[in-house]
Amino acid sequence: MTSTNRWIHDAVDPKTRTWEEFYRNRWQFDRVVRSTHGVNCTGSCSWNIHVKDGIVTWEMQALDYPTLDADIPPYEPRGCQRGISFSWYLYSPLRVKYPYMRGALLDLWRKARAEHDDPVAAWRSLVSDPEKRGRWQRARGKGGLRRVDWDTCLELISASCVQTIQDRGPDRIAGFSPIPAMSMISYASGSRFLQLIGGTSLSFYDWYCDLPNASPEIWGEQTDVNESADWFNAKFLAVMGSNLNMTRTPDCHFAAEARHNGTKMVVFSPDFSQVVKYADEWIPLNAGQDGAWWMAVNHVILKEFHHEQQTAAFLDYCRVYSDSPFLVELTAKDGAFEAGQLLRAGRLAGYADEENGEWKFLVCDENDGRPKMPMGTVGHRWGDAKGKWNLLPRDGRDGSDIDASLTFLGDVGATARVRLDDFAEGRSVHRDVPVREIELADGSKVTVATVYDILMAQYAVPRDGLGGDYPADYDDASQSYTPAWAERYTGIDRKTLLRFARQWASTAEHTGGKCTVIIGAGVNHWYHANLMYRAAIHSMIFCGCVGTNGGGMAHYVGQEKLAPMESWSSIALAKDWVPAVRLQNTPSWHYINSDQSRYEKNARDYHTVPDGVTPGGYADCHTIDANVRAVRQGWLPFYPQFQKNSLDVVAEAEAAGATDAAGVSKHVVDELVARKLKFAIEDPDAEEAWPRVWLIWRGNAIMSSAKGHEYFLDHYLGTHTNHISESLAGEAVKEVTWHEMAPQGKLDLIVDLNFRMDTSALYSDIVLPAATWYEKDDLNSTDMHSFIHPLSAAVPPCWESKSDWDIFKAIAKSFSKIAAKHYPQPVNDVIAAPLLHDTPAEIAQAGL
Amino acid sequence: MPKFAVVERDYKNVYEKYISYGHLPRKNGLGAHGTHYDITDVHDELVRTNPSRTIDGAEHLSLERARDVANVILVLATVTNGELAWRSYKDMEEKVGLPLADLADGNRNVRVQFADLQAQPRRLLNSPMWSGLTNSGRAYAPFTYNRERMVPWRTLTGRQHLYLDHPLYLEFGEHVPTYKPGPPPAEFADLRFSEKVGPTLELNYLTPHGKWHIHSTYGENERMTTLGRGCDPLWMNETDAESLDIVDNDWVEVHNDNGVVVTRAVVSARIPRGICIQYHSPERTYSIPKSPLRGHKRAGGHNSMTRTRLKVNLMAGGYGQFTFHFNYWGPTGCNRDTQIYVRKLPELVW
Repeated sequence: MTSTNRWIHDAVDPKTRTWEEFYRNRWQFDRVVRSTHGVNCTGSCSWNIHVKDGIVTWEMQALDYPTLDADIPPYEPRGCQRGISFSWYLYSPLRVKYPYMRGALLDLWRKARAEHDDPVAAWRSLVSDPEKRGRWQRARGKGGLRRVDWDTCLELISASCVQTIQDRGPDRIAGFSPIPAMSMISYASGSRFLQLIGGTSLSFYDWYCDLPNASPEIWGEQTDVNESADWFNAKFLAVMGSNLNMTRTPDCHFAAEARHNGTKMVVFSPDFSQVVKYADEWIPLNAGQDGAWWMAVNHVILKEFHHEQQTAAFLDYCRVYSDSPFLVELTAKDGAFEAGQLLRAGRLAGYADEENGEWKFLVCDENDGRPKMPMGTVGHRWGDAKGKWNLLPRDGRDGSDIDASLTFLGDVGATARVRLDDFAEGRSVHRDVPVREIELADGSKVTVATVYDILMAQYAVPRDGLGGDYPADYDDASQSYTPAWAERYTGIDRKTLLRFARQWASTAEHTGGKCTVIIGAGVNHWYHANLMYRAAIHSMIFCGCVGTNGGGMAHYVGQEKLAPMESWSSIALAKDWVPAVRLQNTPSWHYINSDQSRYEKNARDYHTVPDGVTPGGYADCHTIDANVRAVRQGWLPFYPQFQKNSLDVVAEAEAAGATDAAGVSKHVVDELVARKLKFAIEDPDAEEAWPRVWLIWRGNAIMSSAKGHEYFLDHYLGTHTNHISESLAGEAVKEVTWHEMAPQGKLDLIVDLNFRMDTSALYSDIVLPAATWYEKDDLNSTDMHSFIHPLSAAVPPCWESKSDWDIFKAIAKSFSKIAAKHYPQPVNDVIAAPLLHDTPAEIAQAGL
Repeated sequence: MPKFAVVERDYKNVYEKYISYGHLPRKNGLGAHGTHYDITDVHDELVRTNPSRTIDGAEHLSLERARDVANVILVLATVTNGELAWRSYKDMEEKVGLPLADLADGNRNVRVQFADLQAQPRRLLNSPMWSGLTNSGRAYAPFTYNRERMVPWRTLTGRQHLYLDHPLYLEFGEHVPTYKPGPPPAEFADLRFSEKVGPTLELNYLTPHGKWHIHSTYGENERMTTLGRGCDPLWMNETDAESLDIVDNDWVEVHNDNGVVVTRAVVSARIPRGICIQYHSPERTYSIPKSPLRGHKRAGGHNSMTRTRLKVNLMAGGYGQFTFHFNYWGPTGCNRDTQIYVRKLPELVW
């Protein structure tokens, strides 16, 4: 039947409904394979991928999530409008189907290869010639990518790596790939290769500003949050900086279901955002003033629920689970007292010989007023005596019970007038704080207050017998943190704040702490985000909400939770072969290497700090100087680590007589102290210190992730840029060597593994075709739920694409072949690593 | 001073090592976040049952195929191998001095492999590496482990820290919770060299995540470029727009010292005055016209407006919870305090 006949047939005999064949064909499939999307959306949704004749035809949400428990609504179905459109990419015009190389580079490479048998020598001939190097650098972002074969790409990449290792050092080879949890094995591919050769892995969570610094500040934890099902357990949800139905689409139903179950939900958002429609109350806070709001909420909670009502559950919680009762040393300065560091147990006669006494701390016992040393502090964690790192209220020395005092108010009547900062008004305020004197082992006495009493003063809670700059009442806007004060910043009237604070705390009181803050990038991306988060978290610690179902700080920004961390990191960081790694915090790396540091002066220009800070100190310097000091002190990593090649440094140490690791370390330290060896960060614009090869995979490092994109184009890439800033830092920087002319085009080679022709691909020198999320086996986890998902190869990688794992495997193979000639024997490398969390280095530096 | 470690680089064998699981974890055990457990027996069992490779006469787990890698990860991790979780709790019991291993009692015979995950989503098991407890279908909430089992937080006092006594925090006045005003626009200096040309407004530039993309993915697919405005528009307040004679869908030029963006305006009463939004994230692959203000060079994307500033006290180290860990601690790449000028685009040039 011809098509015309068929149309007539349908019209004449519609009952056969033959037109439906088209529809049925479209949705036919041979098989269904489970996969998900590795896009750092946090969703981690289980999808069924439908395949027909070897072609992915469509995807549909999987409906087989196991139920958590009968009282919580089920997770399924998970998935959103973005994920369900993913299959389009596999066969789209944007798909990277073949390897590509920048034409200007390919021509030069072929010529150089014709002249040099050794690919390493060929690459060296190109990068050592500024004119040639500039040719492909200036072409970056201007098109001209040419299809090329895999072998040519692999050989060039490997040659560039070997040349960089030989001439500059392995840490000049850097790799960026975001958030491993979204496709763990694909992340592991490049980072495993880099760590095997001594390259630098760049961080992502802090660079994206997804890391909430208040979490490590308060909990020592990167991020640990409620799975979305736990929203259903909350009785009060405060949502801020997070647009749930927009960006947590598959999870949002739990918020709706919680509301049906009686949970109150308040949304804070300067705009009428989508999630507002779910709210009982919309509070349109002025943008970026979330911190002012929570500071005033805490003022009310502390005044009413702590001081006036003495809510037992709240006080008991703070006594056991927070540092509230710990003693802080106060020092006299200019007629007032300043709050300082925690008083160390080892300074008291009774604990003078205590192991790690500088890292154990004190509280006062409510019954006899004597200072005692609770178990569970960091000194107990890293001591030889095990079994005392717990929160039981007992003395770490004699095991006696401790009933810790939260406050010294009223017991002996002594007070000290403490100076505090009011940064909003740019002034000091002075408030009385109840204190005691404690005798030290040397017979001298120190003035101490509890953390709790200092906080009461900082939150400006007026208490009987305490003079100074306390507000008269809630309507007193002259002192910080009253509801009247907050109005000025938040734009929200004091009655609304009072109502919220009272409902928040009384809900916590009546439910055992079931108040949750759902928070996101809308708050976390401000310069002072750590302070905003911290204030919100304080409200939940004051009300006993942290560590209970339905309570706590639910921060969702980035898919950071890689659940099977232990075994994964052994593979991803090649710790199964190499015991030390080069892991770089990317914010410092880009700030310094892409020369963004050159475009500002003293950070104090815009960061409000107390009056009277040490001139030239951390709070009064250019940020790059602070970063240099932080690296010298072992606080932060920095790679490239030395001005010299780290392989040469070891060779020199060995030539000078070092026979083991200790000898090499000593040599390095001596050279650094003698200033014969310099850290690369001390002269980052010197040619010797530049990063040279940049490998990018699973991400869009040059656009989506490139804060200061135009400076990347200028200083990394050496191509056209639209920034018009001029260097300003010359007179401000003290710790780094200043170059009048900023380098342009530090990077010799940029390689991008991608399945989309995105901005990073457009600016790279080599683009390698990567498999999509329906073409490879991988693993995916999230903090939005407590399941782990596979990515599966529903179809093999299309065209010439390969999985990330297989691409780096191919690079490793080609690299090894070329390296065999240049490095027939193993060589030694020295790694400079910072002091690390969860190691005894946590007790490395008691003072600056 | 940093710590120095000397390691061997065996460059000609990088490939062999890439595809084989080395023996250091078998020798030293595994752990994370301060946990530790032995894997010798499980490792050796895997060598017998899973693909392996011989190097210098010793059997190594093969990592040649991604699927093999997945199984090594799953079988050697505590959240997917209950026996190892139990071991890790036993190790933690010694450090803490309290019973904990009962948290894994019911899971000791649970072991998840890749094919299991393909069959049905599997729930993660209790593990001392994470702070939430999920026994018997309980929803995961952080720090329930610390609160109920009296395991300290990994901080200076082992408690939640309301007070931060690192000398750097004292120096910056952030030892106590406080309110600091945001960086003042003039001193933050996004507009030091930029000039207002014609009617111009200064606005705070925000780049939240949007409904129709995940970062730069999905926004440029065929549906979105067909159904949307064909570009990543700038959302602005109607009164602000009116003051510049901008109506909905007009082209605008957004600029500061850091770069320039040219796109269409979405004029909406939803957006407060003084703020504009460009959703994260545009791509240079579509709808980027040229900029008259920057010599008719092609404009950029949302990160053309940003420049990195680091908050110095977040660099503190060597001290309790203020100790570096990759992606865990350190200054962040904040971007929300960015200021821009916006004006109506005088002429559209592709």
